[in-house]
Amino acid sequence: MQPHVGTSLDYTIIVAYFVIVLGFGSIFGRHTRSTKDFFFGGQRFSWWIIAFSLVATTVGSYSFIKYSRVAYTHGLSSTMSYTNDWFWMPMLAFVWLPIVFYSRITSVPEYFERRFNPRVRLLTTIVIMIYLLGYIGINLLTMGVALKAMLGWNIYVAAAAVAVVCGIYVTAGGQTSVIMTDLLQGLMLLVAGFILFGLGTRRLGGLKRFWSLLPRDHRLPLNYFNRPPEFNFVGVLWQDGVSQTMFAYFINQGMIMRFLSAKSTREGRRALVFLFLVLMFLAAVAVSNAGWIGRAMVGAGLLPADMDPQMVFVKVADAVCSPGIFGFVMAALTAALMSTADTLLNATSAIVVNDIYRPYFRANATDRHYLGVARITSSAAAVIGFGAVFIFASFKSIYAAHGAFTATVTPPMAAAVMMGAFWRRYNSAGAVATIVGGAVALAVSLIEPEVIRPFSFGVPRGGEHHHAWVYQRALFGLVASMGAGFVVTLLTRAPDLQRISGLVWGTLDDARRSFKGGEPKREPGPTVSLAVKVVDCAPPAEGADYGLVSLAPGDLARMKADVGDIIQVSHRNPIYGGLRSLQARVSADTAAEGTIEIGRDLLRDGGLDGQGRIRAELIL
Amino acid sequence: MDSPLGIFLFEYLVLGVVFFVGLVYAIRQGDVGLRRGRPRKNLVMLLSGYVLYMAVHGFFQFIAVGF
Repeated sequence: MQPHVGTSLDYTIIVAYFVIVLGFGSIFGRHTRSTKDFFFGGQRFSWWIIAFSLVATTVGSYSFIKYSRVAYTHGLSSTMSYTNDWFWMPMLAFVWLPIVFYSRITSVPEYFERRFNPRVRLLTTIVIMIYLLGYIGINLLTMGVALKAMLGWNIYVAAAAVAVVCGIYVTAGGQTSVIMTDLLQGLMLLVAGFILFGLGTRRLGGLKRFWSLLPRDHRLPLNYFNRPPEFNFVGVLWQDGVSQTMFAYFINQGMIMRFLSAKSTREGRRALVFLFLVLMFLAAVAVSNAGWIGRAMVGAGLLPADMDPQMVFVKVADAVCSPGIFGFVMAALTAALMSTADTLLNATSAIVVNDIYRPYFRANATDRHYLGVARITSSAAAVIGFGAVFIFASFKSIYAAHGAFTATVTPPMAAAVMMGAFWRRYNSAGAVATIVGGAVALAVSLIEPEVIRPFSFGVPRGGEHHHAWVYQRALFGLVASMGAGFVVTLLTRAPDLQRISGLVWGTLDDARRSFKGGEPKREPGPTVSLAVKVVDCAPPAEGADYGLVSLAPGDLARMKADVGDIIQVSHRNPIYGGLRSLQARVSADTAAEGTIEIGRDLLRDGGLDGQGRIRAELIL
Repeated sequence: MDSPLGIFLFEYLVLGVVFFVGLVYAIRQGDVGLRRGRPRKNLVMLLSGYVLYMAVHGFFQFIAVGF
């Protein structure tokens, strides 16, 4: 079948979508005035905004194509990769999230320096930069290939369009733009996925008939234990359920920056609960259902049985979508890419500024200077990512090399972070052994795959070199990395617990105290509505953690807050989700009852106008 | 091991270890536990999520497959 080139209506919808995203992202750029805003969105967002933007980041451009293919070939088990995250919730939400939030870590390399030493930071900075820049290129290339297959577009034109749009709004608005556009794009890709599902089942004669047309083994959510080699339960469990999930939520710079955008750890936890219990299930259906529909349509004789599984998403979209709807689905596919690419651009900028420029080139510049560097870096990352598209498209060996590089470094990095966060005895020598030893072991496995056999769980080898035991390699890498780190740590001196306080499990109360600059409050209080009294006072000095506000004793009591506590002041309408808000420290209890006294500059920085009432709540 | 039940049990054994080891860390940290208030709410939330995942996987693995 020739690629569906779409109608003029489809093109109009896709172009309109690009314009809307560009405008949406640029509008929210107005709120960016500091590096804290640019990288962490001012640390003020509500759970639902964080959750929707996280699902958009998680679903990449390849997801619709890849999981539709897997769903067509293996049925409901295509959802396995998306439905393992909850098991990490206790470690993620109650240990790692507080460590990241309260120790004010801006990146994983910074964590490695503070937890271990500067050499480990340098090592991980290099690894993460290669990973990030290559990954931007891979995402742009995947998008170009997908749009070429579906709309007949030139790969480079498609990649350039996405790079330019993302580059503009990320450069303008940083994390705030990323979060707000990802909110829109997350909603859009879920809606488009379910529209496709609805149209597909209607075409087949309803949900019941769709289900009856699926082969029996395609109805199972957990696939055959160890066959076939290219997609089996035990392989996906170790690769996606363990190794990839660890990497995605504990190391991925984009995820860390999103956690830091939440107004509190409690709000971050709420976002994770909604993400794992609701949105990831919906996303699994949204990205996979074209494959299930395609299989059922083959059963009903509506599609040819010899169809190329790689093309199932295109063929199903073509078969069930009318003009206009097709354009909407293609725009959603673009949304999936843009929402991943924008996060990567912002993450790359954060690593360059915080882990390279600030420590190695200019340590004591103003925040305004670093903000300028961050903007330049975002643009440069978009250009370099686009350049990588040419390299990956022209030299397949480089594309394969980046894939092999990623497979080699992700398990050791994940192991090092986990051991660093959960084992107080773990030291810098152990961390180096984990990263280097694990990477060497994995490199050896690419040359001689037989070393993976003891971890294969009976899965057939499947091919030579990096094609052999593609999924089981992750388990081998984790065991090798953790083993090396464990042995070396036990043979060397334990770290000084005082030095790593707040960076490892069991010391989080210290992190909370350090974050607040006083004794933290564990129980949240109710939100209260207050009138604003604008006062003239000096804006917070650069480097000061919070601006100051004054409330009345009665209002503080209602909020269960005291002088010295950190509170969030938000627009009276909760629909803003923290976009128009600020965090401040209560400096006095001298305001009139029912009133909050805030400085003019502080109000302006929070996007609040000082008119009407605001909502105030205790953060810590 | 290739039976639907064997695979289901393997999933909840391996990832169950991840979950319950994490739970022990979270309980010892003090944010999760049987104490009234926030710790108990967090414990109920975590265990409810675990049960929900089991229920969804179990429903499709053992019941819906025969519809």
